Amino acid sequence: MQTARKQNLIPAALVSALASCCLALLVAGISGCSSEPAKTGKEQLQANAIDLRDTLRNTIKDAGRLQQMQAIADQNAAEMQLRVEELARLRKEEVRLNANYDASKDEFRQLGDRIQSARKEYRSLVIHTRMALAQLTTDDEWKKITSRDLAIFNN
Amino acid sequence: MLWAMLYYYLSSGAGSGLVYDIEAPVKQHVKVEATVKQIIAINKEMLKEDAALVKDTEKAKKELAKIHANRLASESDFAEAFAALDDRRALTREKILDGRFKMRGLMTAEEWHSVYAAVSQQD
Repeated sequence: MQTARKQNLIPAALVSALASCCLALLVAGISGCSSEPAKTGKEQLQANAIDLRDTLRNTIKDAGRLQQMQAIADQNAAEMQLRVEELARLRKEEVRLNANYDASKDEFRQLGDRIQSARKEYRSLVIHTRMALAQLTTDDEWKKITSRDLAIFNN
Repeated sequence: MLWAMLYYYLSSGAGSGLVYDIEAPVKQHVKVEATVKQIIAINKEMLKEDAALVKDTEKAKKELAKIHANRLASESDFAEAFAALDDRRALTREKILDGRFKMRGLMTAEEWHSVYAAVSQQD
């Protein structure tokens, strides 16, 4: 992504956004809608949740376990959405603070702590979901789920 | 997918809202040539720090992918990998902030606002 910075005025935030766009396109591509415009963080998360639901439905043949797993995924999806929105808000706040000549280092540290805290909460939710799903799968099922999951990023 | 959700977390950098390549607006708005050179040198260091973090995050991403693929991996396996990344990110953020305040010390309020107004137009 760093090569994208060869032109002036390309901020790290934009580089991150580009990474997210690439990711959204990859996810969209797998879902068969690669011609759609790049998704926002919220849309991307929704696409991921739908993709996860589909993968579970195609992989888990036991109806009882499938229902349990989909309930876990759905339950946490809404919470993840809120965290992503909070992270986006904090990022905008950081850009505004940076543009303020009189901003103090303490203000940056406090905001940095809030960003890190929001990030950790989001991460915990994803990992918690992942653990709960892994517990309900067999080795073969997990292999199918993660191989599809990881193939996106190993290209 | 789950990994995509984790990746979203990983892709947000340490100084996403702090690091910009400001060479062009600095050349345009800062009057003293020696100061321009100093600011650009600091800015390049900040960009280098951020790029190094992106590289290390890529390495961590591979490690985390392996952990994710192991059905029996524990939360502490993830926590360990993320802790190293958190430390790395905090260190980079401090360096970037130091650079930001050094640059600020070299500019007047008016120059600063002109430079970041140009940045926000491009953002």
